[in-house]
Amino acid sequence: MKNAREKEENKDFYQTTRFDLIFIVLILFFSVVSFWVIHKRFQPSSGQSAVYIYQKDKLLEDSGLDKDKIIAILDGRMQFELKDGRVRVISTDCPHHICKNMGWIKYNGETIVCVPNQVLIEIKSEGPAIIDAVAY
Amino acid sequence: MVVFAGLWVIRSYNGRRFHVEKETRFMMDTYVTIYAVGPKAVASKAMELALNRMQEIDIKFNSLNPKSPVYAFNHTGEPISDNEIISLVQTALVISEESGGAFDISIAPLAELWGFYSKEYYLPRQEEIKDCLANVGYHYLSLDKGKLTKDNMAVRIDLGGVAKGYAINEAIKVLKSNGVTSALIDAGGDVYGLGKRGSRSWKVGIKDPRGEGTLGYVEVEDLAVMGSGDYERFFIKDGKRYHHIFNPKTGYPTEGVQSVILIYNDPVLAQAWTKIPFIMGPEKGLERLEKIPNMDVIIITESGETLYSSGLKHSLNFIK
Repeated sequence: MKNAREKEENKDFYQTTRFDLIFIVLILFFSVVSFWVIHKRFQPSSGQSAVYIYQKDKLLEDSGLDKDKIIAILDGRMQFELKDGRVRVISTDCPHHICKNMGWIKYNGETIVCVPNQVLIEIKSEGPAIIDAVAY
Repeated sequence: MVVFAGLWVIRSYNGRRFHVEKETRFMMDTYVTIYAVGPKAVASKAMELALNRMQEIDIKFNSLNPKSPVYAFNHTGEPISDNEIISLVQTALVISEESGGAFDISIAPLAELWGFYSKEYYLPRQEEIKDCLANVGYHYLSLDKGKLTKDNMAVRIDLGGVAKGYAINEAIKVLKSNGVTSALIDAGGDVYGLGKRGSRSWKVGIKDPRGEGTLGYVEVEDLAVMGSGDYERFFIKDGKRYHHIFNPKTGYPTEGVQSVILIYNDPVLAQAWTKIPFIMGPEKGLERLEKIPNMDVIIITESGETLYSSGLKHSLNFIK
């Protein structure tokens, strides 16, 4: 008699309640979200790269680096080549051509600057930056 | 739920604490970008004050700016008595002595002769260089009772070899005194990492001087990574490259080194010493810099060979 009552109590104890279900759904939900956030956060940054071209803080052009093309700004006085996920200055009317001499950039956060034209070319991509700045 | 709420609060707090503010300004014949980590209001204000200070230094130390005491010294011979300039000239003269004259702030007449100021490049004749060298030499400069004077009126100084390092140093002081302990200053490829970026060190890439991209990166904390290269300012005449780093003894642009990257805690000294391997040559330059404690250096020779100081060999990381 006593054993039967104990068995009945245990059965009630192990029965799944509505609260348990909500709790399981919440755990599953946060597990999936955490996995997605961590995955996105530690993705290599080369995935979705884009180039942004500014003059005096004003955005003149932006483009994904997944397609090869030529971009011209300032009525064609400066031209950029986008190729194989990289970008470089191919023509400029500035006197020293320092920006052109900088060559290709491709990593998140890398920049090319043309001081006479006050133009800043910057690579931005999703995920953490591989490097914070480039010394030269 | 309580755990998740707690995690959300911690995340929001860290988001605020490790928020990165960024601002770029054009100055010193290049650009300066500061990344400051911290609450938005604190970081923005500190960054603005730091950039203002750098612009102030740019005007004061620029030998081509008529508002600068250096300009007056060069053109009219008016002695310089500004404490800040005197102090930096004193540092520069010490480096001149220690480098056996390889570093010299009096090379301005040479840079002018070759057209690096007017941007109208010119290949001078041997006699012109010889005449010009008569007015080059830090020994013409005298520092006495807080005044800088010169024995030869044609002598001119250019503080470009130390002023950027000084501006970075001053910007760091301003950032710190305004509550920022984590920041990165990128002054046209001369970089200083203050503190850490959150839980990790600042990662500074080293540009490949002839190729594309970077040779790798170094991780720095309270260190400057300063660079000099023959690719920054140059012209090509009859297939030969003439760049802006001169040997003060020959009057010609140096040969044998493409680029030097130096890692050191003092950006002023680091900037000045980057020129030494160009003038002394790669091997002797490396030997000289190895004698300075805690200074690390990467030298890329004309033939593309990379020389590392012994301390750095194992701390350059490669990007996969």
